[in-house]
Amino acid sequence: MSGKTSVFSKRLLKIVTDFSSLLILAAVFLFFEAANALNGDHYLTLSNISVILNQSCFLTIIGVAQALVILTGGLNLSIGSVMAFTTVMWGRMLVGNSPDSVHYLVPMAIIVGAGMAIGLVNGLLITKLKMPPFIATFATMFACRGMAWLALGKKVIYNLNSDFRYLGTGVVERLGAFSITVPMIIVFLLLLGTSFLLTRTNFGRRIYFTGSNPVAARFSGIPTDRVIIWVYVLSTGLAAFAGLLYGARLNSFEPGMATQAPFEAITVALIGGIAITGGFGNIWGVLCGSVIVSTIYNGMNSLSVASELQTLVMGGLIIFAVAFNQFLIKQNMELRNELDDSAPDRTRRPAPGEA
Amino acid sequence: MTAPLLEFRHISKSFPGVKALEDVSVDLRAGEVHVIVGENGAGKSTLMKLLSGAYAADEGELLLEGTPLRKNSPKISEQIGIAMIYQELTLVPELSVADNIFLGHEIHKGPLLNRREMERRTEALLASIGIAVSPRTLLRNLSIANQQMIEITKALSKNAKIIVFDEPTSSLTSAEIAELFRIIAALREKGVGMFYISHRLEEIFEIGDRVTIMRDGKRISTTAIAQTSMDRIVEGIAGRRIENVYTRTPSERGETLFALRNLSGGVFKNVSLQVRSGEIVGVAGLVGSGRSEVARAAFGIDAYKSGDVLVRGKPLPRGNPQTASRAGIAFLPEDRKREGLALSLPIRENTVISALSRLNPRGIIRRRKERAAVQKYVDDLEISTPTVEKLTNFLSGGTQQKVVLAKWLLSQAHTFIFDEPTRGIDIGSKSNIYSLMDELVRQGAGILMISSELPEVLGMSDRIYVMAQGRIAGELSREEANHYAVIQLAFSRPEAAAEGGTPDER
Repeated sequence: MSGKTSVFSKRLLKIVTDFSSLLILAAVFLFFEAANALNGDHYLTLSNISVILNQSCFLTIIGVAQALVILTGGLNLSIGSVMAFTTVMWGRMLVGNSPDSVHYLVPMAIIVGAGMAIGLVNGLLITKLKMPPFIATFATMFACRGMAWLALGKKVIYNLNSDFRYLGTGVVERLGAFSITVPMIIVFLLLLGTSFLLTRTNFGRRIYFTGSNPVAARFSGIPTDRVIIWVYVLSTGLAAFAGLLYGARLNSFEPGMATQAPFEAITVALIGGIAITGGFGNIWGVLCGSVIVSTIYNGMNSLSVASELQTLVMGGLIIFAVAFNQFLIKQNMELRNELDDSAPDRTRRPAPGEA
Repeated sequence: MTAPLLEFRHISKSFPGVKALEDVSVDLRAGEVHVIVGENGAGKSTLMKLLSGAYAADEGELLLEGTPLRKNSPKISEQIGIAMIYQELTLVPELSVADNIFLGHEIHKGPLLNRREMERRTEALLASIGIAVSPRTLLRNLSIANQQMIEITKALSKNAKIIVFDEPTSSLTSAEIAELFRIIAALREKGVGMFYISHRLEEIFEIGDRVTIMRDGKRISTTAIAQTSMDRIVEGIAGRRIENVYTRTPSERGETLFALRNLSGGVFKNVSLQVRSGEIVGVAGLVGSGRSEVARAAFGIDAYKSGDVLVRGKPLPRGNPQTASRAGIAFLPEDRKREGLALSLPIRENTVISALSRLNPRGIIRRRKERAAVQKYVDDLEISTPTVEKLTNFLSGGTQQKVVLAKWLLSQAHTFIFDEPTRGIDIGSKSNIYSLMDELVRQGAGILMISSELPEVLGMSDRIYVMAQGRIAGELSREEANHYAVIQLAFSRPEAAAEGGTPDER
């Protein structure tokens, strides 16, 4: 094998592993397109793509919330119940359209703030009481769900403020059958912001370093406790924000909402290429992960797959995602190393997709 | 003429982008210690990995007692009597000595383990090389040195004919090294052929029969130890003449940057010392004398009971590496892989991690500045890498250590605590590191250097504290210090002296 072709094929392979999530997405699209074609339907319409992207927005937000924590080597199981608890507690302030009521941004700020406060509790349990993240957030998961039920019982908060609902349902622009919705804009801005935070700030660097080797991080003078606490504050605050968007779309808040959210968030983050061991992954992958999961849900619905079976499929998908993801991360690192070795000079520009 | 025990014949091996071995021919006779020296990345480990079956050669062949070895794998190499003794031990701390020695080739009596027989044989093996350890002791209760002896015994239990020692003395004290050499001599008598890899050149003359120098994947020379000299070996390794490894320019002493006042904790007691601007202060002593523990407590990694850590005269709050780091202290830990690097991140991100606030005071990364800063230290330290984007996971041990060093140099601390700064580092890089240390103190930094390598301590330090039994046994100026004085203090018993009511030595 001559050196040139092998470098070329490696470069190609690296691009494949860099954008593996996109390739999986394409495969999933093709699968449902073919399956629907058998019934004489057309799956990949512009309007359906728009629907899928809109549905994936919520998943992306909780996926980002989860990914932030996973990058530090942690886990956040409290995501779903924080959504329920915070919105149920203060959601009444978002009901109706009376002119004398406070601006809808005020309750939103309170709810996100409450989420951050719970995140602070998560962070303190993990860093100061040295509880494993799984246990600490498991506990807050139960506590928050319990408080949500205590606060509202079997009632539901509905008929929400229409300005507020616009955040979850509004359409900014129609391009033919494709609608650009407000959630899409919000998610895009969130990803831009998170990506900047992770790759272009000192804080982001510390997140990756802490996740990659917490001992070395401490020895390097990184305030690891503070980094971890902040990450849980952001993650859990983001969960509360996701709860708001969720409620805005459904026009209701209820204590039993989003019980699957933390697990869906893990699925999305892992499919998106975030290493469960921490310290490795690109936040844009989460977008891919959530679009893949949304497409599979949407596609199964288009084929009228029973919901029990859908749950089973998701289980299989998680197993596949984690195994495949670990394999790809290893491959990607090795390819990157080999390419580094054959790089002609030291001033190589970072390849796309590098964290 | 009988065939040598083992022969590498015209071996070549390439990895993507690197020619690791190029036409290397080396042989090993029965009953000899064949030393292999060379810088990190010279190809020593690759050669040994061909022997252990971890790699296969691209070209050339391996002959065992004159017969070519067609195929090799870790299992085959074990069966034909090749054993490896690595720096990192491969024993199970929770098992007994006998269990460890017979792990994987246990003696059975029906379906059950024949524990008594294994213990009896272990005892005989231990006795045959003169190690006084009970077969029933749990391995974790043994010193590192004794654990290594058990590793050797394990190799003997499998009737190893060839033993490879890879840096066996890097974590041993002088007394333990003497013990190891006694055992190696005993093995030589038994006709075992041994490859011995070490960066400690003094040892070669003590234990070796022949020495092979490797550089850039090629064999430079093989000579009998009796017919060579230290200078010639060093030149051969470096490929150039190294005049003086230790660079020290006299520099002006300034204020006291860092001090410990009566620090007491786990294994150390009443430790007081000072480091002034412009000086390198060595801390010598045997392994286990509490040197590293003092440093770790001072940097806030471990807790201490009483006493103070003073930075520029002000007490440093305890138990927080972050405040120590912010106060301008840098700590280069002994175990760099575990405590120094984030292996999934590139050289660039590892290097800047402790300097982020300084490089980017507004919290937002300035890429061009960062890249330039990293590149400067990669060049200064001669970190061999094609790009600063290379993941540290894929660097060789010595290169990894340099990255950790670069991290602290970039942090611009004023006091550096080095715990074994050149352990496992090749000669060429060593002298780089020494001249960097020299430059640091000339620019007004203070260095506290913990080291087990006496020549290094003597060559680099302006003052030397010698620790023994967790206490400072004495302090020597550069003029007073010599091998003899340091060793005498290291073996002294300051505890007895302190309890006997004699005045404090400090």
